[in-house]
Amino acid sequence: MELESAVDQLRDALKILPGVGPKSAQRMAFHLLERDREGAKYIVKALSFALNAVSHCSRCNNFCESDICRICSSQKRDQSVLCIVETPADLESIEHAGAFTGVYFVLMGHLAPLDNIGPESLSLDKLRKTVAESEVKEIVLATNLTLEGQATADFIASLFEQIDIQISRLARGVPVGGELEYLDPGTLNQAFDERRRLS
Amino acid sequence: MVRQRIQKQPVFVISRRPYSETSLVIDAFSRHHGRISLLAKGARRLKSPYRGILHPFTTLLIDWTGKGSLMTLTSADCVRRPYTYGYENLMCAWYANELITRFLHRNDPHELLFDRYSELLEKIDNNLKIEWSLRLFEKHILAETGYGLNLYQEAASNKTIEPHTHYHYIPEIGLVRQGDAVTSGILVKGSALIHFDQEIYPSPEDQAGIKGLTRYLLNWHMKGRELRSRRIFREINRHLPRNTAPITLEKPAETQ
Ligand SMILES: [Zn+2]
Repeated sequence: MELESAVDQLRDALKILPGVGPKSAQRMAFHLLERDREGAKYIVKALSFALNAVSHCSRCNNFCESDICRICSSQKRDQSVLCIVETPADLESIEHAGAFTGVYFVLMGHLAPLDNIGPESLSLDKLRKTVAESEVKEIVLATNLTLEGQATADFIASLFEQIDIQISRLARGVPVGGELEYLDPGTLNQAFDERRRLS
Repeated sequence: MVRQRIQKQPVFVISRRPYSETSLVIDAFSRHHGRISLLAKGARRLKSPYRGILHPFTTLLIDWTGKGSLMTLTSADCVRRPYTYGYENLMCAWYANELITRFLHRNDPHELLFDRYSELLEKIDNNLKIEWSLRLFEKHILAETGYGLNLYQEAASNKTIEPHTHYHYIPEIGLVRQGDAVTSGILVKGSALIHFDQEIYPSPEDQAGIKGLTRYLLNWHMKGRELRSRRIFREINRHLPRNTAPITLEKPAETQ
């Protein structure tokens, strides 16, 4: 039953992908074996290439194919402002919006004790090293506004309490184009708490 | 199978994990149904009515259908949201959630413990006697899951505990007066036991004794498996700047 075990193995492997359960894993396995072996080979090649080529930037911890990534090594970026985000996807969103010209640090997650994620999983030693070795004057905490994200930001702020660095958080409140009628109470309350003076 | 529709149940989210592309599986603590698992379909979609609601430490009123190991959430209303608290308080709340997942069996109602948990979250929210509230919660979770403590009399003689005497607490046996040829268990002062039993706020010294007792008993009942939140606490302390006070499962300078 050599064949059966190979299929089983592939099915188990595909279940590793986020959002893929046993049913979809089986469908994917059969599809690749039956209809798209070329595609399967391409996946194998791309995956093993990426595993070899992609590591973490030694400064910002984002995925990167050299020692230091494009953003960290750019002359155009303001090296004195460091924005801390949870994930590469968050970084991409901020880059896409084009609102930020400083540099980043990517935590690759947030504090989550029940999932076993603490400071060590968040590369905080690396963050400290990056801050110590650069001329950072301001840290912008841009973690998610979930409880976990805020706790993470709060903890990181306490790490740099004793150093002369300005620490800020992203503002919270009404989204652009947001209609008040449809806002959740939490957002609305925070928008009131952190309202801004116009004159 | 009978399709059950359960409505307007008070629950807390204990933990959650992504399920398929857009959904969440919620581990919840329901007042009337105990620990339950619920599938929240589409909860991770941008426009889901559940978005921003299914968070831990939030009081919810929910409806679900189905029965067994995974029910389907059909409605959720937020009743009370926690204030945004700092990481230290949040760690304490997470610790309570981990105790719930470790000690409570699924589909076993614990209404009293639910109310205690709700009170604990309020204390954490308001920064009031967090340490003491955690100790009481530990006592109640042990009692509710069949490991109740006998804190008011000696196991063998039923003699009342004296405040100035020391006692060994031995799991599954109870209290044995120090000097009675016993070396196992954990040594606790009588006054600490009395305060813990009657739930009267103790002196710092007795509080430390009570902490030793509950920690010992929790470890004993978990058979050496470590709580994740304890490990993360240690990691956090290793990372804090040198002259910061370490955090514990309780705040050192808490108000009464
Ligand atoms: Zn970089």
